[in-house]
Amino acid sequence: MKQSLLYKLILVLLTISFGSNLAAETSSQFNLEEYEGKVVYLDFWASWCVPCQKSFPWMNKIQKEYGTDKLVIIAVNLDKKRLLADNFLAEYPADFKIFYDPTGKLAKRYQIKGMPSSIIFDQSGTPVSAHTGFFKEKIQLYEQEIESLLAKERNK
Amino acid sequence: MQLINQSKTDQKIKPNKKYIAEKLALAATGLLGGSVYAQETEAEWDFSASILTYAETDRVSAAEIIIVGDKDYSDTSKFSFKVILDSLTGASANGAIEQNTPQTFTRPSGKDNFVTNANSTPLDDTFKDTRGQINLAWTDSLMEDTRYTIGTNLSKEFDYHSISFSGEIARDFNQKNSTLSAGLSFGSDQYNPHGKIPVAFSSMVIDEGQFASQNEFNTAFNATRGDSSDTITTAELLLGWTQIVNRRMLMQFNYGFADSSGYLTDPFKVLSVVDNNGITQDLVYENRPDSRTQYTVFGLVKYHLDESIFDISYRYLTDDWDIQSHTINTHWRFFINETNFLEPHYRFYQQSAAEFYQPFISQAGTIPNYASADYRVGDMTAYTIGVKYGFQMFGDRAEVRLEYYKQTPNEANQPVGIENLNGLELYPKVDAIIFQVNYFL
Amino acid sequence: MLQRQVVRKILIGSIAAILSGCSSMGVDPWDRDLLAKPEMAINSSPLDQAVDDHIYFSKEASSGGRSFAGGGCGCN
Repeated sequence: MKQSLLYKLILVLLTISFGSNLAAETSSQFNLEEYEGKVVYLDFWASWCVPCQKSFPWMNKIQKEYGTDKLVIIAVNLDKKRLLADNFLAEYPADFKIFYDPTGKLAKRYQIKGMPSSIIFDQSGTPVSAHTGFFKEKIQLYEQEIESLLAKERNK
Repeated sequence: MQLINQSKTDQKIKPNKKYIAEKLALAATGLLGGSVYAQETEAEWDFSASILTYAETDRVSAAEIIIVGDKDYSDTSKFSFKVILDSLTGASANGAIEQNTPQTFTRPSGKDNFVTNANSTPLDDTFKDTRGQINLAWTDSLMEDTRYTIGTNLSKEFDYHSISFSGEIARDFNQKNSTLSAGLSFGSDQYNPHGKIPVAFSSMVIDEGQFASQNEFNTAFNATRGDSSDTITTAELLLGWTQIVNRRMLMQFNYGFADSSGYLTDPFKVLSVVDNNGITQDLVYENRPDSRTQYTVFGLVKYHLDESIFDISYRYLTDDWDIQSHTINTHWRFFINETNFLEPHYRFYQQSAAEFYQPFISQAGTIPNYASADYRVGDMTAYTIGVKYGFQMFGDRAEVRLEYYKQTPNEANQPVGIENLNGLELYPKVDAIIFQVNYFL
Repeated sequence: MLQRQVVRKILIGSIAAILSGCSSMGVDPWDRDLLAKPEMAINSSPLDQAVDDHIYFSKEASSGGRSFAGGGCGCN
């Protein structure tokens, strides 16, 4: 009797520690230091965000243009169900990294003010600009910001 | 009160059919050496259409078709239009009370008359009319978190036309959890009834053989006719506050003010002047005040449960005609699967009579300044019960709606009149079936 | 008129509620998944709304009272 109870207790403890590790993976797995030396474009999106249908093709374009050795685009998905994100990606494929944040921990950490949102980090991991919303008319501005950070690196 | 709607069609994710068409077009341009860049595809029109039939038992029938289209012009701007065509046939109560004997009434044009059977509500079937309406609206962003909409509405039927302009501004607060809006609307209507506007309280001239010639009848008839046309101007203000409560719940409160002035009388409605025995001695054209000021407060709650969405709203209206009304409206949309839903609907409506409403005029009394026997400004309770089913047809969204509307006069609140009239149906009821099909492209 | 006073009181009460308690109500921008659904829009059935407004305007003495701004996904 006591043995089975002990086994149950161990099982419960293992599940808790394993479970919390899984939960912690979302935000702890995301580490800007991994991308030191590269410009990071951190985008927050969801399947229900209509402007994201326009931002994905553009992010594909610039990821291709600059290459992953200079620019890393990371799109953080905030859908509560993975299936919704998968359906969106089937219609709007992404040639850049996708990160899943269903509980919104990362969004909270970066104090996202609206959907979609993007933060541009320079090569040393310092955030230099943040945008709320994705506007076709502002694409030139977004590209200029990325270009100027990359130019600084080139001119060193 | 009809401010231009800001329909949220821009929140729709485009259906697969359109996506495939876009991709094919892009592939084609790629072959021709054009730039293969998905972002460059121009925004398209979204269309939706509705066909409606409305049928009252023994009374009015109407058929209506609505076509709505909208298109995004930039990240923030959108143009939308709405075209409505409707056709009305059948008969409507003309305000006279029923009698134990048949009654003859002259048509509004003066060129003909009709007879109502004994013991039945007098109905005028002159209203065979077709109406066309067009509504245009433009929405754009003024600055961050602030949007405006401007719109115009034009409506034309055989003897009535109307034009209005409206503008609305909306501003978001608290990370778009709260939205405050203010809208203004101005309208001008013109009435050009066939046979001209009748003189208030003039007696209806009925040809029962007493005229020696057609000319004599015409002279008598024309004496009851006034201007060939008249106008109504309206001004409306609507203030709104929409608040997101939590992830599942939304609520809205509105305050409205509307002012109309001009010819607010119905030129086709009459009142029976009855003697002590309840026998109609005369028929006089009704008369309403030339101004009306209304105030409304409205509240709505929408709640998203796991597999359904529930909403309930309440509107209270009060005006200087002494009309107060309560409207409760509720829907519950049950999601059957990804594409199908079932939505029952219930609406309750109650109104108190206008101070000048009376079912008839007693010959013994004096003719008041204003009087109308139009059941639509009387004491009434109405309910609507219906169901809507949503499905897919040819890969596009479709809906069918079936509703039953029943309007009952609140006889308990009616003034007690003449005893002999007690056996007769003084207060018309309305019973209608509504069937509607919606299609979304 | 008494009714106008009632309406005014409701109006003032509503404004007071907006000014006092509402900065605490609401959701984070990424929690608007359900609110983003077209069925959760204030005017989720514009065709039905147009039909109903027309029917009830013709058969009753009341009209209007509602506006359509707010809610939704809050994007852009």
